[in-house]
Amino acid sequence: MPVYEQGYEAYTGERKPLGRRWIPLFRDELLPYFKKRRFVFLLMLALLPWVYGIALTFLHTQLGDAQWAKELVGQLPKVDEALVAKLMANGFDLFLLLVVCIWVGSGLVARDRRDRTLEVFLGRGLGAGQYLWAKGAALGLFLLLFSLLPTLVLVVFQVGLTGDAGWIFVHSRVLWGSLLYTVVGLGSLTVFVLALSSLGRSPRAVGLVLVGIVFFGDVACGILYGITRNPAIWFFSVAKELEVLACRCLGAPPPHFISLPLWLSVLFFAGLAALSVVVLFLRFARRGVLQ
Amino acid sequence: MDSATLTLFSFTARQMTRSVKAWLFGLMVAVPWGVVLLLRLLIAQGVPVPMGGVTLYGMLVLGYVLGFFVPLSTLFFGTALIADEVEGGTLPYLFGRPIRREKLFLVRYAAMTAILLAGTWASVLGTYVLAMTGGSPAGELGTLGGDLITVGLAVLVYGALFSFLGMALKKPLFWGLLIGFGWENLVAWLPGFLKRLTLLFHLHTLLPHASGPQGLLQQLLASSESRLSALLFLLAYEALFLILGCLIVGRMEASAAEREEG
Repeated sequence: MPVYEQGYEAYTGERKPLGRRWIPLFRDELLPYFKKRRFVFLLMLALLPWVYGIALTFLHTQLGDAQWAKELVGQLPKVDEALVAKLMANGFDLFLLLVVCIWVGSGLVARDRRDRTLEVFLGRGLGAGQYLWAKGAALGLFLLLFSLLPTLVLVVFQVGLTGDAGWIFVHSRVLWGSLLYTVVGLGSLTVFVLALSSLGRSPRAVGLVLVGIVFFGDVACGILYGITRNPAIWFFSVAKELEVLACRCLGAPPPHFISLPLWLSVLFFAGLAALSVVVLFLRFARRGVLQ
Repeated sequence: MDSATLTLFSFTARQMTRSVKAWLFGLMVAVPWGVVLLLRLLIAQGVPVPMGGVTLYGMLVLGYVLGFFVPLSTLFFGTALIADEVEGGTLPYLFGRPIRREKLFLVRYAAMTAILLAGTWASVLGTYVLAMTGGSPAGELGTLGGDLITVGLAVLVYGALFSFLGMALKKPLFWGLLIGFGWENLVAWLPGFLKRLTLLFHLHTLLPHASGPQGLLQQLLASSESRLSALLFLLAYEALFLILGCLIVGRMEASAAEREEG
């Protein structure tokens, strides 16, 4: 194009509807992680307990009617609400969940603040709500891999291998309990990580604070429980609250030493989410996050 | 110590103590004191408690100080030792000082260790004094001395490990977390040789609480390694991490570009 013809002209490309402007940001936050082999390996590790669940389904349905097989299968746990609760909130998966929260979540807003790209995003017709939704959805999608998605796969295998669709109705709590756990527990955690990330400029510092909060809560509650033997102490531990919430949502008994009622866990996560929303509102509504 | 070294040492110490991180560190130092005071309060109120001051002191040193506080605080400050300068784009100014890079790393490491040692020892000493009040504090002085030495060694070795990781890796926090809280806690309790590749196992061996297997805590800590070999292992790890750190800092590019975080 000759130099004299270069100038401003009307944009003739495709215009995205206003409501979908968050999608490119969401995509850019999501896709790079799938190209990182170490991250994908980490996600695979998180699915290992669920492979055990699928193997159990296979053994229960496909091993045959021989006496030795019946005896062997009889000793194995059945695929039900209690097993799903264990698979969803075991210590191994909770640790990996925290690692994913740090890896993906700590930089969500902090990285944009450090790189001074937040001003660009918020200055181009992308509202704070859409920006936060895009960021939160990216983290939330990864957290789904720890809860609802593997549960659905397990249910598909269970029904597919047994050919008994009635299992879904008998064990419907597996589905709605997992959904409740995902929305209440992991949803609150996502908003909390987002709020924490908006408070700092260094993703590493945000990650360290998150590690401190989660591990410190666990250790401090453990010590206090050792002294008082009062299960209510675990109220302040995020990891234990997730464990209790998973058990309560699925109707499985939680470990005896942390037998908190469901309403207390819901209260904890509602409080965590409310506090996070207030922080996000104050940071974004007053543009403090840009300073 | 020449003036450039002294300036760098005091600059690093100031940087560490005048930040939000320092406040968090101070809070974590005081947590065991609060726990012991709570126990005292419960006993004074006549509430039945499952353990006494001596047991609680041992549990706090083992579970809180060695298992949580030292790994987390060294991870907190160790990974940031050079990475903060890289992230902030101020590394060229640091490397522009009239001091060799290896010496710069070691001086910064020494300043960090000094601050962390002071905090950790204050935490253990305060816990001991509060836990033993009313008993016979002098009777357990040997245990206290052993604890202080072990905890001091833990700060040195964990500090060296995380300082090295902070320079060597793109995501020091991620790997530090996996090593400090995953590998260390998982493998240190396993039977076999593998646990010798953790720092926690050797530190447990050195803890004086492990001297005679009497209670649950002592049985947990019962070790198949002599204290001398534990000490040698820890010193070897310390030397290894510091040498590796010196090698890496000597090859680092002093560009103002920021690295990937994590």
